[in-house]
Amino acid sequence: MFNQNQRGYGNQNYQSGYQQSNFQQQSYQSQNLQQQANPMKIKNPQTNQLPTVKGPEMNDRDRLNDMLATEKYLTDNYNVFAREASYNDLHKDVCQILNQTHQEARGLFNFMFNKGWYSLQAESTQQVAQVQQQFTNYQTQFAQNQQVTNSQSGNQNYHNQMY
Amino acid sequence: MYNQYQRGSRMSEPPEIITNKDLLYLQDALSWELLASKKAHHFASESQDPQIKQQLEHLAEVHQRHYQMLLRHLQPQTQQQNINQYNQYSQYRN
Repeated sequence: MFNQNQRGYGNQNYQSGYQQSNFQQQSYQSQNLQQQANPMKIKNPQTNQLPTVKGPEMNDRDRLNDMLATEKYLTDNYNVFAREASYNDLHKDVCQILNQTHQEARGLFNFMFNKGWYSLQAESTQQVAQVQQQFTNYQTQFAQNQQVTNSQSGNQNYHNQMY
Repeated sequence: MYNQYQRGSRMSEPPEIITNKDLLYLQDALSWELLASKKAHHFASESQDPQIKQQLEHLAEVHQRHYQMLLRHLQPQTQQQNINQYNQYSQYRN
């Protein structure tokens, strides 16, 4: 279901690209060049909470970053602890702590993203299409080949529409 | 939990006995949680932004809760009981 949603989303992008030009290949190339020159940033505007001239003292962003680093460190180490724990109750508790620590790290990341302290960069549609094609083709390597050929033919239809 | 100690049978899972390795990890994890909680609380006191204060105090609480979860595993009496039970079982088995 998740995959279908993703595909649906990709499809819309492709079709809008397709309609813009009669020369589809060229359209992809120019689109790609555009994106390389001006990569699409995903970020919130920064709230003006931080001092404009930053001194050596810790500010709010530093404090949150430090806590995020702490949560990251904890998830790494709890993962090892969970794997090495001897009796089941200990393993279960450590897994629960690991999971909750992941949630806290995620919460902090979202919080900082909301503040505009994280910027992400969108990958170009062409790059995504290339990798999707590559790993769709690799599916022939699985032992269960019947299913693979089915989904592959489905994907090929999808690509025929696009290119 | 002592289902695994059935007469003449093998243990299906490790008994509820803290091993040397468990104890070393518990010691480590308890100090991580203590430090994380103290640091979050300290940062909260330094921040002027109520939203950030709240987020940091929340983290201090979460780490304190995790600390207590881990600490519950360190019960010397339970450890001794479980060791005794294991000893009985292993004598009986052999």
